[in-house]
Order: sequence, then C-alpha cells, then structure tokens
Amino acid sequence: MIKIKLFCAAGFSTSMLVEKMLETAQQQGIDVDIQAHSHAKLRDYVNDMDVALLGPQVGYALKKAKEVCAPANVPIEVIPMIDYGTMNGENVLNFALNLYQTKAEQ
Amino acid sequence: MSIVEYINTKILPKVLTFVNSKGITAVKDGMLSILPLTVVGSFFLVVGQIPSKTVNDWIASILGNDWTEPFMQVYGGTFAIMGLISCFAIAYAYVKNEGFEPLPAGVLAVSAFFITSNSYVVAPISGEVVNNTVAKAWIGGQGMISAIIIGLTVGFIYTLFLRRNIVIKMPKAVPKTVAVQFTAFIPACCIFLLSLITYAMFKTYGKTTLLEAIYSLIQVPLQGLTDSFGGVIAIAFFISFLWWFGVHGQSIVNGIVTSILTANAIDNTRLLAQNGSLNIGDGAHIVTQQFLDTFILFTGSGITFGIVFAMIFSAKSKQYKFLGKATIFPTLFNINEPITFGFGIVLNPIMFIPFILVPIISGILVYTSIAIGFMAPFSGVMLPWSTPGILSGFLVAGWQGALIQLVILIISVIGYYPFFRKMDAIAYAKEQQEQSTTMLQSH
Repeated sequence: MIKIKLFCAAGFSTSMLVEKMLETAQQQGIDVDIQAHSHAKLRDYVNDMDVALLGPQVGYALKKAKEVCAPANVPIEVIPMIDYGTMNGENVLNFALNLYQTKAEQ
Repeated sequence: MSIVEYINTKILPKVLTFVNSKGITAVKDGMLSILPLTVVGSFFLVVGQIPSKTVNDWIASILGNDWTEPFMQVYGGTFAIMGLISCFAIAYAYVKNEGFEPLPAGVLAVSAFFITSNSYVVAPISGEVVNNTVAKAWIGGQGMISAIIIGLTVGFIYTLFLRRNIVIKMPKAVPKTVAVQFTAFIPACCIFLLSLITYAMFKTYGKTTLLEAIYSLIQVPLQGLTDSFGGVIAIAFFISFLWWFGVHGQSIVNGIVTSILTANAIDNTRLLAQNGSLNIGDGAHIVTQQFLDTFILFTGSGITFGIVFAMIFSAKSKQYKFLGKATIFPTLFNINEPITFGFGIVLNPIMFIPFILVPIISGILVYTSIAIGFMAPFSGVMLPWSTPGILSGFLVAGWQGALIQLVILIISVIGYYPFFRKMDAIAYAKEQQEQSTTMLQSH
C-alpha cells in the first residue's frame, strides 16, 4: 500500500481533496492510504509516508519541507493550483503516484 | 517588469523568508498548541459570567452565591496563565522544529520566565509587599510578548548547544529518557546564568524586570497598533493581498498578530472577570482574535460568500454553476480554497479589487459598530475560525454579532457581483466557443 500525505495550513481544505482522491483510487482499484495534516506536522509523519504533497497556499514552505523529507527519502511537491482549486482528485492522485514512481525508479 | 511580477519575484520571497523563519514558525506552532486553552477555557468563563442578572440570581438561588467560583478557577488556569504556557510551547516548538528532543527546552523556558520575573506582589490598595508569590497578571496576557522572547531565546540557546554538541554525553547503555535529561545540564546552566544576569541588570539599572520592561516598551505599543482602525485595515488588506498571490495569507498574518490579538482578548476577559461587563472606556480592546476569526475570515479569506451566491443563482457558464454547488459546504465552514484557486482569484486582475475591498469594508463596519457601542467588545468566547457564520457571530457578540455578519454577507454579494458577471461572461463565451468547435468537428 502506498501512503500519501497531503499538507496545508490546517489540513482542512486538503482533507476535502483527500476524499476525492480516495474515490478515484477506489474506482481504479489502487491500494492507497491518503491523509491530510497541517504542514506544521510534517516532521511527525516523515517516516510514515511514501509521498508527500503540499497545498499551493503553503508552497512557500517547499524548500524547508524538502530538507525534512530528504533524509527519509520521501518525494514532496506542490499540488498544481488548478487541480487543487477544482478539487480534481484524479489528477492529484496521478500526480502523487507519478512522484512515487519516479522516486522508485531512481 | 510589471508591478505584479515585481512583487512576486522581489518582495514576496523576502516576506516568505521572514514568515518561514525559525522564530515565526515556532511562535505560530506554539500558539496553535494553546488553542484548546483559549477556545475551551472561554466556555467556562462565559458560564461564570452570564450577562443576565435574572439568570445569575436564579442559579444562585439553587447553588448558592459563590457558584461561579469553580468556573472562574478554570479561567484562572487557562486564560490567566497563557503567557507562561506560551513560553513553554514556543521553546518546545522551536527545538522540535530543529529536530531535537524538545521537552527539556520547554521546561527550561518556564524556569527562565520565573527567574526574570519578580517573586513578590504589591497589594493594590495597602501597597503591602507580599513575598514568595506569583503575580498572575504577568504570567497571563501581560507576559505574552515576554513569553515569545524568552521562549525563542531559550529555544535558540538550547539548539545551539545541542548542535555544537556541547553536552554531557552518557554511555550508550543509559536509557534515552535518562540521557536526555543529562544532555540538558550544560544548556540549563547557561540559560539560568543568563536569566540571573538579566534579572540583576534590570533590577539594578532600571528598578524593573524584563517582563515589565518588555510589556511597556514593546507589548503596549503593539497592542495599541493592532487595536486601531489602521490595524484592522492592515490585517484585512494583507490577508487578501497575500492570498491573491496564492500564498496562505490567513496563516501568515495570524503567525504575526495572533499573540498580540490573543493578549488583547485576554485583557478583555480580565476586565470582564473584574467588572462583570466590558466597556471601551475601561480599556477594553476592539480588535481581538475574534474580530479576525469570526468577521474578517467569515466564509473564508476575502469573504467570498458573494461569489458562491452569484454562482448558484446567476451563473450562465456550466463551470461556475457546478463550482457554486461544490463550494456551498466548505463556505459554510469558512474554507474557500476551491474559490481562491478554483474560481480563480489568485493572480486574477479582475478579482483583485473586490477581494481586497470586501474584507476591508467589513472590517471597518465591525470596528465602527463596536466603537459606537452598537456591539459590545468581544469577551470570553473564542471560537475556532471554522465555526459556521451567523452562529459564530451570535456566540461571540450576541444578536448584534449575527446581524453584523448578515450585513457582511450582503456587502459581499453586492461587492463581488459586477466582477463575477465579468468572469462568468468570459467563462460562458469560452464554453460556447468550445461547443461550436466540437460541433464543427463532428460534422
């Protein structure tokens, strides 16, 4: 199972996106565990995830987040603004899975 | 280079470096962790200070005259010691974010806080000095900025020692929990010495303490600055302005003003506990955390209710009709990322004006209604910002609060409508065009 974690300011709006992503995952039969948290908690979860995504509104924290995630070998990127705004679960799920795959191939 | 580009490439990165700095992040995280104390603690204060004499007398007739006392104890253990707890939480958050075991730093910060404060209280009327006591005023709201400064300093020093590895090292066989306490010995020694020197310096040269000096030199001016007409406009402006660039304005502005707005709110609760009512004349503050959470962020940053309303009732384009339905629920809980990113406010010149102006006008309205006495200053009730509107207004400020929120909704509907029409027309034209191209292709 692939563990994906989404981080935004408080974890509220990302949790809406999580629902959409889980719907897509279920339809396509992909085995994932997706959760939303506040990005202040990133460090707490860094050893308990395979992919991390940041909401675009906290994209400014990416550089620091990468420093936290690098030792645990967790890829982290900012969710594209348009997919975030339209709560496009399918696109964001694919975005996360691609990150996971690219990392795995390295 | 356009002005937008200039801000985006030159100014914003600097602002964000500041906001992302270790200090601001620690304050933000630390203040977040004390939220249960203000939010839950406030309910007990409200029960202890029911504004109706009839209700009070009725309960007193059953439970006795001092029935509120236990409730005020909860206030005394939450709101009233907020400075001290913030100090612990901020030092803790700082060291945690640096990746070290944070508990000893929190503990040391509490010690430093006490070492630098007076250990006596002067009785208000007789002037008698009572030794070996803790002055609650100073571990509460008045000590807020000191708490931040001490918490950050302790966090910084502690991290410095651990990073340079200037610690007492224990053999591997010693359990981690034990070893961690030894690790803290050298930094503790340094922190206590520094606190001692600080105390002695302030006492000898200023006949004061660090806490009192910080309070009068920094905190009072800051509280005055936020608690003003200009303060409201600046807060409302920056939240929207940053969001327009796609940055979480609420979280950034909160990181900077929450400690001060909380101090303002604690001042109000103290006045309420003392006098049983709140008046501007007695020094009650207008701009507190509730002002921001319940009114400026109502239906989401930018007060975007008007957009949702217009999408539901007058959208021509399919895109916005759909988005309207999808955003009702989040809007109810003051979450509007689907609007800022999905409707397209971020970097959209059409939406800039209403997105900035609607919250500012609403802020002015709320400020004025308190200043002229229509609405009472905010008292104990502190709600999470995600509490649904109208209800939240009612809970923090009675029917007047609910009414003001209603007026804000109207301002939002009127303010956003013309700009929404423009956006909808563009989206509609695009949809028509796409439709006709697909029809042409299929023929």
